[in-house]
Amino acid sequence: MSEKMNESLSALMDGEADELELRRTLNELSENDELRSRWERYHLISAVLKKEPQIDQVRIKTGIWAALDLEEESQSEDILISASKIQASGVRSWSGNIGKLAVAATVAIAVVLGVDTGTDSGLDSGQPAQLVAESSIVESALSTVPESISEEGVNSETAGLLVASSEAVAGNDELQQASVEFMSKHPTLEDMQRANAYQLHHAQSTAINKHPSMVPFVKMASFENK
Amino acid sequence: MISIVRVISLILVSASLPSAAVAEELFEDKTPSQWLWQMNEAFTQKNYDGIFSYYNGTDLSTLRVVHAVVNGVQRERLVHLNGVRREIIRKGDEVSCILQPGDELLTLENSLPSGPFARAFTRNFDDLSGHYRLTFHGVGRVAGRDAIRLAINAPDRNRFGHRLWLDTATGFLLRSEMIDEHGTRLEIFQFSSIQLDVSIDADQFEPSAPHGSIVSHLRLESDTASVKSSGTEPIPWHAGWMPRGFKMSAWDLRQTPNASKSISTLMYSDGLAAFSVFIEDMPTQGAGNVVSRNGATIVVTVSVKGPKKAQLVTVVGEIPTDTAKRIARSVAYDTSR
Repeated sequence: MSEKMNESLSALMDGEADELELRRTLNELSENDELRSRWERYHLISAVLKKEPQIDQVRIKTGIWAALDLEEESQSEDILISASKIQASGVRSWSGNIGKLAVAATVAIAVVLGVDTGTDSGLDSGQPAQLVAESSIVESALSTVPESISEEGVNSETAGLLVASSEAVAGNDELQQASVEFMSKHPTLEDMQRANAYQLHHAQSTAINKHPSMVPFVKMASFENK
Repeated sequence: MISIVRVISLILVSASLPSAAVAEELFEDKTPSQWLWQMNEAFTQKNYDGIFSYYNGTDLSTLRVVHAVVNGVQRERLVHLNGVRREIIRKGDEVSCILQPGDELLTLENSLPSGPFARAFTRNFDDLSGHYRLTFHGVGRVAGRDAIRLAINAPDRNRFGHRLWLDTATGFLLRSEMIDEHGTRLEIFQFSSIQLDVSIDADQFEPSAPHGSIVSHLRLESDTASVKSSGTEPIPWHAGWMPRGFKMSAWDLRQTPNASKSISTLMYSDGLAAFSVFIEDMPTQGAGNVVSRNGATIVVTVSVKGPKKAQLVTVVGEIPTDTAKRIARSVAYDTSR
């Protein structure tokens, strides 16, 4: 096995491979048995070290390819969404319920305030909350490779990354099969806006109902004492 | 028996680790539950002024919080330090949100019909200790302060766990993490600096936002108003499946101003985790599948059969992806009504 390929493999394992290198290595993996067995050993070692359950090598690879392809498909939407500035259409009082700040100037509120309007990052101009749509397989597959691969290698470098979920990728997902009639393959801008709005609404409702903030911890404490 | 083993192991460990000796004292001093009580006391009763960061898996926000109890009334101010100016000022139950024109939050709110979020059911936390385990998790240090660590573990794969760092001296929450089943951190909340028990001037609670800001006033729901006796009919929808321990905590039916569209909202909680279910008519132009994770929060959109036409169901919550999908798929119209 060439030294270079070995390096690429290590880079892939460490999540340091760029997309080109990732594709090249995956190609090589599919044709080179020795390299593939080495890759599988690396992962086995890594899985053992991390005490992860053993993983399905084929699925990993399929998952990575699927993610790469999906990314290409969704590039146009990605740009569309990243570039879109949603302007305030008439100002109304912010009537959601932000609630129960008190108890907890904490997580729940940080969620509400933390909905990023993109001023921190030039790349992320349009999306208040970043949306990464994924299929279950892509997700589970990517989660088994070093995390930084999915952040730096597989996914695009843009902050407002959008990987559309696809029936092709999640073909065994009964939910999607059942919804084919009504649901299109890729989320539209409206779908993402709706998802964002619901996310904010959930954060606000959660805050006013005090669910994930500090109070439940205390409630829990009281039951332990009984 | 377990506690004896624990004590022995602590003694053994503490021989080599000075910090463990501290932990041992703390273990014998208070139970994890008592630490949580103290945490809440510290949060609501102390004067403090600090800077904390909140990482939701993709974005890092930094906020300043100032809190004091003045004449028995809690005063609090939160200032978003990066990006757009946002402030939240609270005096007792009165809350003012100060935003700038063009803030995405306003736009997002506008995209949904509005209304108060009625609480129909008393939150019931009785089962909570049945599905989360609370334990000590060593010691640590945050914002220059020694901390005791607590772990809140979920026993199944349908919810996330938590790690807490509490100030050893006061119980004040210095850091918290939400973690998935692999121990991957989904959200981190952490103080980078905190002054506790300091005197805070009244002008610290005045907004610093510039002229032209949009101020909206809110009122917090008090704990006692847990059941709202509004005339609204219950929502004829329910989630057919959900993880054990989740109960409906709120519901709401709201319509857009021209009544062209109504959205049913259901909210469920197990006392710690929560998810919302939004049900609306399938848009005429259709909709796309959305499976979107933002840190701990998942958004799943699916289509389900309704009594007359297909419905678009969106599940949002701090729960694992597969759990959210399963819940979304199980949403059904209540035919008994």
